Amino acid sequence: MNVMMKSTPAVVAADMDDHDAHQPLTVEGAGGELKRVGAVRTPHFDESRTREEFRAVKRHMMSRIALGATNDGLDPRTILITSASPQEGKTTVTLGLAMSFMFERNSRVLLIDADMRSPELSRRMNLADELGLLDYLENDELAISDIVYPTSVKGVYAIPSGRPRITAPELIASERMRTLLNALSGDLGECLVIMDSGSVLACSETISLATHAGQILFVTAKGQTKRTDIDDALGILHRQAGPIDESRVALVFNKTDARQSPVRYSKQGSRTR
Amino acid sequence: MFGPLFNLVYDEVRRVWCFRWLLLATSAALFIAGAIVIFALPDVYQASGQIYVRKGTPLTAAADGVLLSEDNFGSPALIQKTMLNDATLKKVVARAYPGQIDDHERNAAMASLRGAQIKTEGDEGFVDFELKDADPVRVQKLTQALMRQFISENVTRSSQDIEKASSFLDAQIAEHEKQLVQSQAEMDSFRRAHPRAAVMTPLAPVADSGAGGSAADVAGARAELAAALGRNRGAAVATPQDGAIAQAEGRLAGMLTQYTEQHPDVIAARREIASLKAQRAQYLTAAAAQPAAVDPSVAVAQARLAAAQARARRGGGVAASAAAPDLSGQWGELRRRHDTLTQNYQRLIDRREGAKVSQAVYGSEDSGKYTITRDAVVPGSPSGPDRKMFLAAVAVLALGAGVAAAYLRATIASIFVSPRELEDAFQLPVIGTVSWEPAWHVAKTKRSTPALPAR
Repeated sequence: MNVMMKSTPAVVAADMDDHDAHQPLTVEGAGGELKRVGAVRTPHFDESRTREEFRAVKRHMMSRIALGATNDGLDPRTILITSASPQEGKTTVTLGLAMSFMFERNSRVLLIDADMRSPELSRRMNLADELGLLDYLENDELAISDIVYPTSVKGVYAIPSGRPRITAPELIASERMRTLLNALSGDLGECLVIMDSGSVLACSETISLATHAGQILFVTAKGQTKRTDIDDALGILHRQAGPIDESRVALVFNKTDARQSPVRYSKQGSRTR
Repeated sequence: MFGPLFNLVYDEVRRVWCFRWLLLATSAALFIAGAIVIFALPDVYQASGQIYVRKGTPLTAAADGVLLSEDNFGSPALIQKTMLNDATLKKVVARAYPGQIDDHERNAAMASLRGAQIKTEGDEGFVDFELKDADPVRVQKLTQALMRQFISENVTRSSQDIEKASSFLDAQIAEHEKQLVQSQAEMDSFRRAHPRAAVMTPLAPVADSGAGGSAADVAGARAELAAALGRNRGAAVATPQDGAIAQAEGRLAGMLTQYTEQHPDVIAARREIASLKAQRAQYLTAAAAQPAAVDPSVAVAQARLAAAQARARRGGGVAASAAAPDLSGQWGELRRRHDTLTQNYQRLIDRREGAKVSQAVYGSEDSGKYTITRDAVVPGSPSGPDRKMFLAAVAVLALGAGVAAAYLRATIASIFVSPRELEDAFQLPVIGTVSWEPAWHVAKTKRSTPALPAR
């Protein structure tokens, strides 16, 4: 894996400044082949308030990472983003969080699109048709380096969901998936693994992913998520993926209005980068 | 101090705001429905008129001291209460539409009349009439007819009351005439039986004439008894219940002008009359069996006969001086009774004359007691409905219903509107909030520069 990461071409800022985000980029891979570069299309991250909001979330997660492995031996650098129901903003939070981690020195972030029902992360990165997680889990001949893609943002890598399969839940729950996650978090050193999964009540594979996650970020949308759904989802996670307590699970309140944000933001000087 | 309360209110507003489209849709739907109903309401015209009921007319002044009562007839308040019943309102409709009218028109007229307002202004004697209807012509005709029916009902009622009083007085006068004739006969009989005693004063009794006088006494007493019995059989016997029955029947007649047969007071009055009549029948039966028990004159005659016979049996040895004071007392009693009857009779005659004058004063529509001070008028423009006010009320109600619907929906959905609520509900840390940015919909937009610069 170290070989893979070292051989991954860096995308410099100058390369991306004039790049159309809708057009896939290609870079030269380790074997000399051309490899598509994921286009990370994010929120207007130059908005200071948004940046500060994600920064607050990131700080909380980093403090947990600093504490080390959980009581169950799970690596806190393996983060699962999930929610009770669809359309609550998991992918947006995943991308925002990745961009926030990007600002950390010597930090690498690996995004895994583990939402097999709605691979929004892959679509946003224009990697929907590329080899991905499911292909790797099914095909033993594929190496990890075959499914890890660099992105237009330095330090951010992505694993798309792969071509859809009916056996996706079983593949996610397989031993090869565990091996993959262990390899990513163990061998990559500073690499932070963020898994964008489906909603708990809609995708059974999310439960399997939760058993590997050292941190679970549970996204709830203001005025949208129902209390009963959160109750049910947390209950399922608690029963099937280990204890749900504040050492492992945290909530993010999404789609709030600016007045509810703890970040007091002024437009003056907001264009800083 | 008000921070928690403010947060609570703010959260509830946010909760409703989450369902603002439901709020708007509900409010708009209700407002449109209400507006359609309001504009479909027919125009309403209001007619009003006024009658002045005089308490003192020139006629009452002229008849002052003679009238049965000063002004107890035709109370506006009483008539107001008795006017708005179906029987009277049918008369009003018949008065307003003398010819034949179809059922629809009749029902519409009755519906309007049922909503009529008859109000009195204090003790001044003014009676105001107000009527509303969609047809301005009909409402004017009905108001006019209602006012005239008011006067007619008032006069008729007064006239009926006076007639009842006159009938009662006539019966009492006839009874007193009979009693006077009887009293006169008793006095004549006494004079014939005791020519001397009849001229004696109670303080100067004279002795009886002896045995011959006793025989005459017996004969006289027998004649008196026969006369009393004959009167008793031949004439209608007056009973103590007659007066009470007449009064109860009078009350019943009055009630029937206001109430139906099923009214508790009417039923009670009928029961009372039946009870009095039963008592009267018992009394008459007893009178036939024992005349003396019901007719004091028969009892007196029987007592006199017994006394005369006793005196005759005792013969001439009995001194007449003992009977002389008794005869004087009897004569005095007869005269006092006769005088009383004469005085009562004269008073009854006076009252009957008063009733005749009262009939002239109160029993005619031309007596001047009722004056139409403002005939029924209908404004040119409709008086209602007040559509602007109704629309404003409907708007407020619709908005309230919309808010209620949104709040109910939010409550049922059990959504979260603040991180504090979320944290309290699950006892898990809310480590951050992410504001909604419309610009986040970037998937289908083309940007010339990447959103995030590379390092």
